[in-house]
Amino acid sequence: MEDLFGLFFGLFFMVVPLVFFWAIGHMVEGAHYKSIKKREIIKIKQPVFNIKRLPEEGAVRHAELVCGSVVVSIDYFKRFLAMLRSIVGGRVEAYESLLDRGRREAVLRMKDKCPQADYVLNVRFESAAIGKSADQSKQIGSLEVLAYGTAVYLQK
Amino acid sequence: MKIMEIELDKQLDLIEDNVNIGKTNLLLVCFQLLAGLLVLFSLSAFILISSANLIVDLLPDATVWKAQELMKVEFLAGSVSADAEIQAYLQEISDRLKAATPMRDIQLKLIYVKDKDVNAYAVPGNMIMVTSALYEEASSENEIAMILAHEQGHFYYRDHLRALGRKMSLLLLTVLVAPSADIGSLLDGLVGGLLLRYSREQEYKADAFGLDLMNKVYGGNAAGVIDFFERLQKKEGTSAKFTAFLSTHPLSSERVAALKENITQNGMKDGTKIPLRIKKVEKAEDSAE
Repeated sequence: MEDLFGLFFGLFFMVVPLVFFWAIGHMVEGAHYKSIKKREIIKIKQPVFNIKRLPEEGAVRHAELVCGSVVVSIDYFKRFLAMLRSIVGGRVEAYESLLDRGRREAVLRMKDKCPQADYVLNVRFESAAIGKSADQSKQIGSLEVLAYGTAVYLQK
Repeated sequence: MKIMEIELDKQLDLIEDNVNIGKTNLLLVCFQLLAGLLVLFSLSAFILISSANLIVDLLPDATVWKAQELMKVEFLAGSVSADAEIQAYLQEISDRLKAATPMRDIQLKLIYVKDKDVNAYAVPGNMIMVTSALYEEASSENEIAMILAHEQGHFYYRDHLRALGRKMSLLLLTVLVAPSADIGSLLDGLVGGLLLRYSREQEYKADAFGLDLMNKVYGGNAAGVIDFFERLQKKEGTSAKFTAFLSTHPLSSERVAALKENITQNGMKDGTKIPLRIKKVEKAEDSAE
């Protein structure tokens, strides 16, 4: 009898913080995605390309390197989930949205650097795990995503 | 630019539909994983602990006594008694009880220590320790004898080795499963409770053994046998049942109930309590109690 009590007691103390942090993380991420989508629609006239040269080109007035970077982190709940995953294996879905947000935010910031440019060519991504990287545990604390490319200003 | 115009509609679609993230509900996944791990770990712990218990059961007596000797708590073995007379008295009761058990050829040393906490331990290395607070609270020889018989039960059932086996099983599992400290402590907490259950189980068995021994040695006299446990029950109060699952000992009320049932099953009758031969000078213990 007392064992059941103990089991529920323990599970309660585990479940409540998890749900709490899940809710917080969900809200924070939702807000960030909303902002990302809004800005992506605004900047849709300024495309980015991975290729080095466009087949159709006008005369180029000016070109320069631009880069945007962002550091994103995940909440306690996602970290906990990733830890559980590391025992069993499989897709770590907890981190997928983190990486996606990082990438998109970095591209947006890169575009911010050159608001007058017609397009950005040769865009590449670099990511680095920071914050907890010195730790032995294989958990990602924060992720830095860098997007860089060549901004091209065409002759009008 | 031509390229940009063609792709504009597709781009708007992409912003809304995100292929790069999963669609599953993370909370659900988390609890599924937790439940799965809990079941897996508990099952493995159960198997390991059962195997350890089986090994302890099958070990021959000689090996067991040798092993328990090796676990001897050295600093206690050489300690000076708080009261030599009382210690000798307790040793005499203990030896009288032991003579009726299969352990009659083993020496169990009684150690009487001065301590304000009421306690009696079966100490690894064939020693039984009794505190002065316990002796001073006792109201009859029967009560003390029951406590000593209970402690002897721990030796009879090889409980120290079992406890060691349990701890090592848990350690082994944590080391195997947990690459990092966080998971280790999580699983430790989940299954640690399981270990306490085994410990409480042991206490019940020692109680039953003690009662049986009292039946043999004190001629079916049930007087004074549950006094100590009833006193414990009063001290624990009603709030104890909420923290009972954290304890190595069962709820005293449960122990009393189990003992009472055993008393009727064994056919023991209420007789006269034997007063303590040596009384503490400060307290005047009344034998009519």
